[in-house]
Amino acid sequence: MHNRVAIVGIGQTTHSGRRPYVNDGELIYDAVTRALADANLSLKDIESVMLGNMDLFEGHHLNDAMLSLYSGAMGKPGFKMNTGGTVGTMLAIQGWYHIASGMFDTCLVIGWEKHDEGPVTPAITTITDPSVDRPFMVGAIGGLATVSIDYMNRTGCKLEHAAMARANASLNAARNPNAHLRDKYSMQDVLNARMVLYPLNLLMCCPTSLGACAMVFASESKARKITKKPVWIKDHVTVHVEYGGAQFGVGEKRWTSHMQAGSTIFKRNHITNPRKETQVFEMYDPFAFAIPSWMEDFGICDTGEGWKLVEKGAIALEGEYPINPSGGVMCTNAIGDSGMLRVAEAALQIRGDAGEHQVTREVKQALASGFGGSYWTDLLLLSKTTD
Amino acid sequence: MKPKAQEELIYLDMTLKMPFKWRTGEPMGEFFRELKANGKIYANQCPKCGRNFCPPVNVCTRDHSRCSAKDKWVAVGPKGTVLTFFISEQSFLIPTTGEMLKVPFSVGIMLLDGAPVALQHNLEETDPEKIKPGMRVEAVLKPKGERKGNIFDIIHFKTIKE
Amino acid sequence: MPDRVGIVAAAMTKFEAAKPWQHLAELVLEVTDKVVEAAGISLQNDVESVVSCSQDHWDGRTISSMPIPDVTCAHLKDESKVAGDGAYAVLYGAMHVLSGDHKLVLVVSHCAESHTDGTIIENWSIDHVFTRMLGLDYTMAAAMQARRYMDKYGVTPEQFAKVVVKNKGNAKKNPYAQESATLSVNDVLKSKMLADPITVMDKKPVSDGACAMILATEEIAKKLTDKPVWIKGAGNCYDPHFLGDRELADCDALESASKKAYKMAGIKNPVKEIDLVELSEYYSYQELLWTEGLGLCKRGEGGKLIDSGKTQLKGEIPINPSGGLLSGIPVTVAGMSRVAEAVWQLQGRAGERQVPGAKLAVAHGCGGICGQMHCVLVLEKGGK
Repeated sequence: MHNRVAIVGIGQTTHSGRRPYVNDGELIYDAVTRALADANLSLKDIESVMLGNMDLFEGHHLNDAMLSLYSGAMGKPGFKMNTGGTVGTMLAIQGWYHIASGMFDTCLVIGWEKHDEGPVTPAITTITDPSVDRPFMVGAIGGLATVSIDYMNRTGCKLEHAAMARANASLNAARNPNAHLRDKYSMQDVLNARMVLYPLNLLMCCPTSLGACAMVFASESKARKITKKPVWIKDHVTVHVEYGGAQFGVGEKRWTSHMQAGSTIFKRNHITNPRKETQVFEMYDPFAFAIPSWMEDFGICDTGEGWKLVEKGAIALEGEYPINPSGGVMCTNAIGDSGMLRVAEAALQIRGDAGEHQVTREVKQALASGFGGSYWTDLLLLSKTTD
Repeated sequence: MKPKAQEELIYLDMTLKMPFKWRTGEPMGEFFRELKANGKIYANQCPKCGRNFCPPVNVCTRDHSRCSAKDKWVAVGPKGTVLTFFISEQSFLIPTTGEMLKVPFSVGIMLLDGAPVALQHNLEETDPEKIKPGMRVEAVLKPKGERKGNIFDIIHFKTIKE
Repeated sequence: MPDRVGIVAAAMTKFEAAKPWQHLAELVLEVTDKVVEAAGISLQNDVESVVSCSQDHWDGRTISSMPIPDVTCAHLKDESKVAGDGAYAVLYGAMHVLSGDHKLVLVVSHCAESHTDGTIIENWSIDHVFTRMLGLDYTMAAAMQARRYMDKYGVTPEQFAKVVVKNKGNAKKNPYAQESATLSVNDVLKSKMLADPITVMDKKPVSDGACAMILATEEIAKKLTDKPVWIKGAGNCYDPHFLGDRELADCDALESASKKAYKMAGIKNPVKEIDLVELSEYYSYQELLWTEGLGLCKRGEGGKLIDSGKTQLKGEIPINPSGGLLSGIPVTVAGMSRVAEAVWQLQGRAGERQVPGAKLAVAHGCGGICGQMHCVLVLEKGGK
């Protein structure tokens, strides 16, 4: 049986499109100092440091080593893992393994990206196999646009529902001082945006942001001494799928990584009514159809019901089941950081520390997801208590 | 020590140019050789679970059975049905060539006739009003003398009436 | 370590200067099939998680583990990627098992150095603000480190050459080795100079290949094999990045990593207690320097150690009985291949290069400029 792991410190930088006065190291250092301050610890209390982002986005190879001065990794153990969009949630899971294995009592995980320093769409295009698919992929949005068309075709969801989800995200982001895009939009504002990759217009695609998020994790014995409000990582699952993916169910019944992840977490934790037994979901939503379609895939609601719940306003901050009170990836997307922000924001909700974008009911359990690649899903269940 | 104006900021411009000679390996290499020589698109099938793969694979991704026997390959297409698609209005840098994408540019995922497999490729049509899931399309190939043994031996998929 | 993690089996491809007939995923397929057969398990039913290890720059592919589930039967399974040296992936696989999350893990790494120009990739791992534009690659940096090492401690190019002679000679007994040769010190000293004092023979050759192993809980490892290899200790550490912030003639990060690993393993006298070492020498001088960091001799005495003959195949503490990286191993796979060699030694499966009666081994991986980060694993023979 593993050692319990708690989040005891959270720090994030503000997020923006460009920050020419700051370099990558300074951005990381900012998040690290905030996380340590939040935990009331110093670097000497940290036993291992893990820094993660996607190499080709800024172009640097082995940049965990390059930035060891800023991350605090110098003179300490640590190593880099990166898995695409799931980097941030993967880092949280990496931190979890460090402590759950009994090898470390504390660690620091940092997810970051500085998209203003490199061309992200071409870099994402290289996730494909060079021979068959690379010429036809346009970054992340190409694949997500095809998923959108398929979802509308399968369930009757309309463009308006994606626009509603995006408009809701903007209202939440307006209350989150660390979010990147904070302008408020109505459904019509979203529909009026310029077309980028049909059917996704500019506001229906996630932005490229820059920022960093760091968290301090501790084992149970240390966590309770460090903070009065530890947030427990109760469970997590990672599901990767074959390269061709299962999003469209070609030649078989459709069964995606999200569906596998959701059903695994709910079954293992005896959750039969996710919208009652968890109180908030920070979902990795890289496009405007993500919330309605992936609510269904995760098992938060039945197939075909996701867009209807969005239409009813169920996902709003004060709604029946708030999704992305932080504004989500649609409003802030620094890829190495996006997944980690889901975990961090879900943890803040549990602690009651999310300020103006705190949901109104008490949060006892929260979900956080990461997504990327050829459909890779991380799903974490966070909890206020250990039972 | 913040500089007073943006013009004083020092940037470092770098372009990463990395030469690669990617390997296609056994089944994908053969897929391209067939496309080049005979204008055929091949898929193969797992002998154990029956799952189909295009391009063909060495092992089944589901149960790891060997799939390499060439006599089990089946030619698929050239006709197919559009499963889903996108149309790009915005240009982006193409990482393999360094050129900018010519827009509008549409890509479909096509279920190919002959086996439950799907292939991604350009659609000739770029008007969103004229593309629907379920639409019939057909691969247009380059003449044999111009084919090189890569995915562009197929020029695109054109809309057909059926 | 609280519980024990066992390495059940290990496998490698033969390493070659180029393997253009194989897609990168096929390198992984080959070594996965080998290790599954060696372990006697079902890939589909027994493997609960895959820890892959590859580098996006080297593969020319963001998320270079994209094709891994296809060839490791990991559709809908847990899979994650370590972006660094393969020894770290073994460590991470061990964490999976120790956490209780997964009882049996496949760890696999791959790299085909020959399909691109590695010097560009090395250059892009160096800080972009001050150093990258100088056009530095790892060979030039190695030359600086070797020079500093010589100046501070009086080690000589002849002593570096002895490493090449030993390792290329050991490689003759290794069927997986890419290159082997009977050389003299003079052969090495006379070979083409790349960056003084590094000659072409002092540098690891370009290589393609893959490596894999199966890790499991103690209970399962004992069921699968009567020769499990226990991971008894582990340590890893980063040095500063800027070369000027480091004393290049010493390897503080390696010392820290090895001390941690030895403490965990209960090793008090490394030279006496360890039976063999497989370390990652990208350049010949690094073997001498790393022996110091591994506590096998005092600082500055790496040259004396090789002179003594103790690190020869038949010596008191053989180093790189496999032939090491100098025989040709790709980066990324390097550290994992050291673990694999050590596993075979402890299982008595090392053929002609077997160190008789080996019970305790050290495997080492490193990465970054002038070995900026190090990972040390202490492995112990299990079973009878």
